[in-house]
Amino acid sequence: MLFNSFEFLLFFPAVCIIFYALRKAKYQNIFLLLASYYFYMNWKPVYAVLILTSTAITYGCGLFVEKYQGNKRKQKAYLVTSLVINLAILFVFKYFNFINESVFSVLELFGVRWTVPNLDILLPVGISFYTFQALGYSIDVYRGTIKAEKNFLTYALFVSFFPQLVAGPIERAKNLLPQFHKEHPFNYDNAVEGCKMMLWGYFMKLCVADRLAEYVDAVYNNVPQHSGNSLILATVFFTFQIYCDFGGYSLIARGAAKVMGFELMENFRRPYLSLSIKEFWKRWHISLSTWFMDYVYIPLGGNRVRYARHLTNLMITFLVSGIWHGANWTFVLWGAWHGVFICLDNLYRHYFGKMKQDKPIAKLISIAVVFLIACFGWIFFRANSVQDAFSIIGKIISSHSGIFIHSNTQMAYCFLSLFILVAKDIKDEYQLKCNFMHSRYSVVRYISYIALVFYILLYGVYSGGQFIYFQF
Amino acid sequence: MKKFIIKFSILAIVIIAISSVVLFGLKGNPDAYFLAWGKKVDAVKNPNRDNAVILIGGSNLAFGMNSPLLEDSLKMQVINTSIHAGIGMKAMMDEFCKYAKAGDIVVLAPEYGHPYGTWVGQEALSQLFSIYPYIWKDFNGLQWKTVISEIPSSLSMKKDYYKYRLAHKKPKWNPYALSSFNDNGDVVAHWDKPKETFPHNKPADEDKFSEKYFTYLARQVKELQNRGVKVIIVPPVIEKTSFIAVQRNVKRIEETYKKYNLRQECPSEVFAFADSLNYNTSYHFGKQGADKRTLLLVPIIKKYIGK
Repeated sequence: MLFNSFEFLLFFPAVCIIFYALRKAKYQNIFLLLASYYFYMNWKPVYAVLILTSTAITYGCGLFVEKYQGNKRKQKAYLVTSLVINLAILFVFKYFNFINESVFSVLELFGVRWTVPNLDILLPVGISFYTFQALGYSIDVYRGTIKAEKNFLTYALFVSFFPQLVAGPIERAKNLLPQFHKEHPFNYDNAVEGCKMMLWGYFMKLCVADRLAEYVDAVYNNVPQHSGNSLILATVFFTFQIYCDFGGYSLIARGAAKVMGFELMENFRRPYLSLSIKEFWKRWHISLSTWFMDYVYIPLGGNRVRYARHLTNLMITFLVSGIWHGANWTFVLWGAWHGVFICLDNLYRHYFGKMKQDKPIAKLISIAVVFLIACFGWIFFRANSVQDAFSIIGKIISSHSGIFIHSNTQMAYCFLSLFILVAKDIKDEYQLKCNFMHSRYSVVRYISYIALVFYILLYGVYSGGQFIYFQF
Repeated sequence: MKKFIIKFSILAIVIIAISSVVLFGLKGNPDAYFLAWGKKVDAVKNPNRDNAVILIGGSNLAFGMNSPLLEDSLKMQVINTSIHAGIGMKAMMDEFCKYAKAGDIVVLAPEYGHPYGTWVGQEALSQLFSIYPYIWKDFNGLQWKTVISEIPSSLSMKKDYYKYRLAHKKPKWNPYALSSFNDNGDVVAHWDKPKETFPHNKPADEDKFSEKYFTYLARQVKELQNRGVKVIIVPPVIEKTSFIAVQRNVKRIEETYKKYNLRQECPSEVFAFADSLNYNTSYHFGKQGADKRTLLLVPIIKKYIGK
């Protein structure tokens, strides 16, 4: 079930009404668990078995890890069991065909024939998200950061909680699990705030992401026919498209959870207003960045090692982050691109100290530079193949004849929606005093709600389909 | 909670009220494509008309027929009721079949997407509903779902009209206008226009295949036959490349027809025409294509006249 579907329009209010009618945490949790599985099974019911498997394994291993406290060897064995089984499932469904094809290509170079056939399976929606969330729990229990959850149903809900099940935020057990132990009586302020977040999330998805997608798809799916100018515009559009697609989803997810009284972590904090690439990664897909920081970068030694090793750790973390996004060399290159700039940023700080960015012009230049780096990286992310990515870069450098405009009206809608988005982000970033949906005057607030609803109805794209990050 | 529900309801009522005024209250484009529906209903409904050939289907019929040519060949009135496949076979058959009378010949040419979920309509149904709200009387749950979820597109249609009207500008010519139809209900305004480029059709998702569609079709056909109406099912006309792409869907549709004792008059490939004959979509043809299709239909329909 998609957040931007008719089914969700009926599903969500019904879930909220029943949820609040149940009052007791125990019943609320059982109901939310059923609702979450129903939500997920709307895609392909059989894949619910995978979540259940992942849940059962991490739950069982968690209990055993806690049981054998003091016996590091046994604890490690259970942790490794949990990691291996979960990553094996992820490997089979997400990476097998990619690795198989890559091995085939390499062996072919040496004249060796590799005959293992590809698997004819669809990638289960959100598999990387819930697998990582469950793995985070296993590692936290092993580290002793949290206690193992004793109630299987509560734990199952932690893994499958519908607002964040298919595209995050990848929640930490220490944040989300305790919330399932509390009762959730209706809270007016939470409900209102949640609805506002959902409304803005829908704006980001339907009016910005899906509107820009029309242009981006037209250009990126037909690279040879387009000039460098069109490719530049499409890349800039994609930069905002992916932000609004994923940021919009995260906001709807957080809003939906908030309506029911749950706090999910912030996933995006105006990333394109970052002053450095390091800061960008503190604002972009925060739940994943911090996951990699806690469970990959720090176990590798983080920055408490020799400097060269520290840089290597950073690079490895970003390469893994790239491959997490998808089984394609384009994602590896995207990860490497960011890894290189993170290392350069680190080198600069290491040798010259923190860059001075006090003056507005310095800030503006920094924002522009980070934006350009991010833009360029998205070329690898969006391109259909590595070959396509380099052909796009080649064209951007060499061919500048004309620009493709699919429709003047559509372009006007794109820029109008982008203007609203950027204005809101700037207002939030610099805390400018011009509130609409948060005005203290109810008339202003209500007019803002109605205006935004109609903007979404009139200028939204309703055939855009699913969210980009569902495929990861 | 009561406070929230009250405030939320007030907001929802205001939004629904404004939307309703825009959708049903504001006058729309007098040359709107979907206004053809009213004319077509009147033509079929006319109690004084002679027996007629009534064509029902998607835009493969609207943009792929030369009804005057068919009339000449059959010596019988032809009413082409088709407008857009997105209205859905259900809404079209619910409306037009009820006015078919004994001796009429109903020719059904559903598109290949219809059994794959679109038989209950798409965006077009919502747009038609905003002009002719009375059609809700025959709606089932799925059609309501379509209409409600497509409200934004109907609002957008009104917005686009007023955008041009307020700017005193004439929108760019396109064949989707009431004035594009001839008296029989065929779209003919594009006949002198050059072919446009468009994407070929892709196969429909087999998961969306609906047996309910065939149950509905079989029930309607039986009901018509009981009333003395002759029913002919023919394949839609489609460009060759798209036909090849949707082969798997076509095969399944043909097999399911047999399962429900619905007889398609000829193999589907008979109506797969050369790509060069198309106009602006896989199902839309220019004059040459429309003539070719009409001439193919003549012997099929003739078999039923006087039977």
